[in-house]
Amino acid sequence: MIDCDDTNWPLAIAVAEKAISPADHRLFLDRWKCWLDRGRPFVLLRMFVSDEALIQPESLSSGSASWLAANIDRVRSLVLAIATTVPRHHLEARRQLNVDSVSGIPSKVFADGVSAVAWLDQDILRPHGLTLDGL
Amino acid sequence: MSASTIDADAAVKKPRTKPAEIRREELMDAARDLFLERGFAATSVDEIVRVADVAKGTFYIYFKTKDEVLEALKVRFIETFCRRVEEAVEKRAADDWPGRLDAWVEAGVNGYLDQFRLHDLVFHEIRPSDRRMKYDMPPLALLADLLDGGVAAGSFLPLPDTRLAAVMLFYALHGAVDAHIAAPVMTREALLAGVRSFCRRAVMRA
Repeated sequence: MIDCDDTNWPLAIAVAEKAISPADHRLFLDRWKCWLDRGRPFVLLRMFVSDEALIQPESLSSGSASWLAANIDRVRSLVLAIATTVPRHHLEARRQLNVDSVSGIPSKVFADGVSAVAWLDQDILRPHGLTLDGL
Repeated sequence: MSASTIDADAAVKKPRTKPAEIRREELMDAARDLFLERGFAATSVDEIVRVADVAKGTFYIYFKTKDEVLEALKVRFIETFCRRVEEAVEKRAADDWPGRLDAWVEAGVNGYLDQFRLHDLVFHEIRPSDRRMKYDMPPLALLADLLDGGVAAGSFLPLPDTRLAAVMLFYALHGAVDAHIAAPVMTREALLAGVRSFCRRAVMRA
């Protein structure tokens, strides 16, 4: 299950605690669509909180790619940045992968949520005239 | 997308937020209550976020695991304990070294007795791989400073090693409270009097 939360909009948060199933992934893409349908800019914080949460079957990767291709214009215009947190021992490997850079959206990988939110707030939202008062 | 559009959006949709330090404290409070009620192992992150009334993502911003919450509770317990002891000691006159020692004992005994369930939770759930923590306890430094001051003022005996004396007195107090919790055969006042007397005799001239 991917736990999604947008109560702190324009910050959307997606938490994966365990391995992501195809059903989880479909729900996540549905949530993405809802966020994009708002038509307002936002930042996304993705949190992979365990080793197994980072495991993603190949079929999901190809599904993500086709979904992104279909929505790339809206994603580029509305998603201001994507921050990702991973367990610390995955940090360097994930930073080198830098998988999100292909979409041209600013993205960074962190080992903790506080640093990730600080980057999204100070470096992304504030320059766009948006702020997070807290969480 | 223009800047004015973004500004309008921000004004329309005000996030349901709290300052980070308050949110973190609330998560810790919710976790503490659940840990004490159900036990650490039986408490899930799902339950913590439900009681704290936040989304799971908010929890994971502040803590990677519930073990991290427990560690934060331990840090807060030590800070609160030390602050109360310091405040009690500082209420006594600067040159009243016996009185300052009494204040340290009273704040220590009461602080432990009043919070012993939380104490047991934060110190006994985590078993550190080394024993250094027992020697580095912040309350020990407070007591060692107090003993140094009393020795320098001539109120206390010339202790050859105030740190060692502080360790022994701290764990004497700790043991006395442990015994009282296990078998409360005397009143709290009698316990306080006993520990005060013991500590005074250990460091003061007859």
